Amino acid sequence: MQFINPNGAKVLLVPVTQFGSKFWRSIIQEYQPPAWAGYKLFFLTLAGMGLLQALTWRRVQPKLLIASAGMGYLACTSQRSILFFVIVAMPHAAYMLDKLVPLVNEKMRRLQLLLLPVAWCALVMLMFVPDKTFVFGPGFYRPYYPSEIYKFLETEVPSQNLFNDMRYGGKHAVVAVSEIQTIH
Amino acid sequence: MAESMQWWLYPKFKPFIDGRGDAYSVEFWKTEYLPVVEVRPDWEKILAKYDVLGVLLAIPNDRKLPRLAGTLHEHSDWALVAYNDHTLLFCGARPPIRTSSPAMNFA
Repeated sequence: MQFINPNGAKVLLVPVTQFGSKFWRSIIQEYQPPAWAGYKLFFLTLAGMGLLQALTWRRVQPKLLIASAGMGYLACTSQRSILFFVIVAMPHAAYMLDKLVPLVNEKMRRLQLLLLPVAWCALVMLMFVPDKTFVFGPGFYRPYYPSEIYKFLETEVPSQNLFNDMRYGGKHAVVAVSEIQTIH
Repeated sequence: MAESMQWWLYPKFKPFIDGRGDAYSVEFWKTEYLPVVEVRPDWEKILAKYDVLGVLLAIPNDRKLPRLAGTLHEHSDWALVAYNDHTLLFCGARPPIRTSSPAMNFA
């Protein structure tokens, strides 16, 4: 095992040991509940799901509802579960929208094919393009690759010890760069 | 996706810590990293222990500045020398220090 991974078999137990540790759970952000400031879209999705379910209550699908409600609860308690909530909730939302359309207007069904690209375009223009964190298009993810700052460091600042936020550090576990050292 | 310092800056600048939380002991987290990030009373001693002359901090997505950033900004021995929308770079005022010009704004 150590031939494949220098950390040995213990690496397989990391998720379990981390989850079982109060300390790790207290400092790992993904284990914290989502806050409105950073997760507006998630909370709006939850509210939208609730509204859709209320509107289509007569045709409720218990399996989908239970799965969405369960994962929704977990997502509200831990950011790490939001992805799994989305995976479960989207088919549920699609089912409810399908049941909602006849209630609103039968003719709406014919517009579904047209509405899809319009909805995607609106999503791109209103959500993705203005987003300064997840910049639309190819390129570095700026919160983790502050290239201007790195260029400044390279050209203007003499070599010295830096204290860095852990997101900038780099993974030392890769065998190919195992010679890389930290400052301590 | 994450952790770019090694790629861009090594070996000129060595990282203090990387993104694998579990690769460092709980003791290290409690006595070396978190006391600095949370500006506990001995934060300056820890930076001095490792002869740290620069601090690279991230601005979280909620745009709330890290506590350490506020402390360094008000501290007479530290200066903000560069920043963009997501990152702040502070340098110590001790030699071999660099610039007295205003902070470089890459935002």
